[in-house]
Amino acid sequence: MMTARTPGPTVESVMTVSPVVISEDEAIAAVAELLAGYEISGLPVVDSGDRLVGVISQTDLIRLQGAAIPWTGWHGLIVRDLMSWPAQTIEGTATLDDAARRMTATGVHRLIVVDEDQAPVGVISESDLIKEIADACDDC
Amino acid sequence: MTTADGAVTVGSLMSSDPIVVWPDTSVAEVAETLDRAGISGVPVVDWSGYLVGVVSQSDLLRVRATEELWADWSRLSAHHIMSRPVLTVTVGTTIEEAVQLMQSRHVHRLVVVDDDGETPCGVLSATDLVHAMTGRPAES
Repeated sequence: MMTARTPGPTVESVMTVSPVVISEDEAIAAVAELLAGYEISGLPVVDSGDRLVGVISQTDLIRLQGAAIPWTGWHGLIVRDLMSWPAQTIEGTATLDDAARRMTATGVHRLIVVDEDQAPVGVISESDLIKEIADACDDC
Repeated sequence: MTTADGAVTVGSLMSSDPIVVWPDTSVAEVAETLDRAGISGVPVVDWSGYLVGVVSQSDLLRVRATEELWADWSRLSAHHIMSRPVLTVTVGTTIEEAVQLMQSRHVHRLVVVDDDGETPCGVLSATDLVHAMTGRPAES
């Protein structure tokens, strides 16, 4: 049985490596296609130097939908107009307890792991942490 | 499915026959259910099939992030951690109204209830809305 005192896995052991990212200059319509196509709820946004500049998620798209702008009015919008920034990041060596605390404290559903050049190298999402809880149940 | 004036309604985009859990379903089983189904939240129903709450990934993470709860997590059940009262809509609610509700209350899903107002017949999630933006149906 896993307890709070068991040294658990780290963020980099459960994160999605080499995550799908989107350019800040991309059209908003492309976001919905990527989220639906990869069955993810959000993704890192990068600048022309592949550096992390924000995160765009289902919530951002729904905020736009709630603004009652007709779909045709979305065509002029780009990712930078709608993304959340700065992105919440975490070190790959952090524990999953740390990741859970940071997500809960900041109210986000994913954290981004960046390399020394600020390029996104991983994403840890709520789903990754839930899977880890579910897997721990095998030992119950 | 649309209203008389052509507005798209919840019934046309929701996922029908939702997976549900019981108030005494263990937190570990809830995590397994979410993980296996690839969903981010699940309605909680009593033995009459009436809606009594919703458990989301974020509710589970709050347990993980709270040391005293996490130390005792194997004894916790859905009713300990679920959110209530639940925000509900009906199949005839317009998508516009549903989106406004999700936004204003900061939730990622609404439970769709029957005419009795208490029995879940579907869930409308942020994922369903994003899939609709792309014109492709969400996996259920």
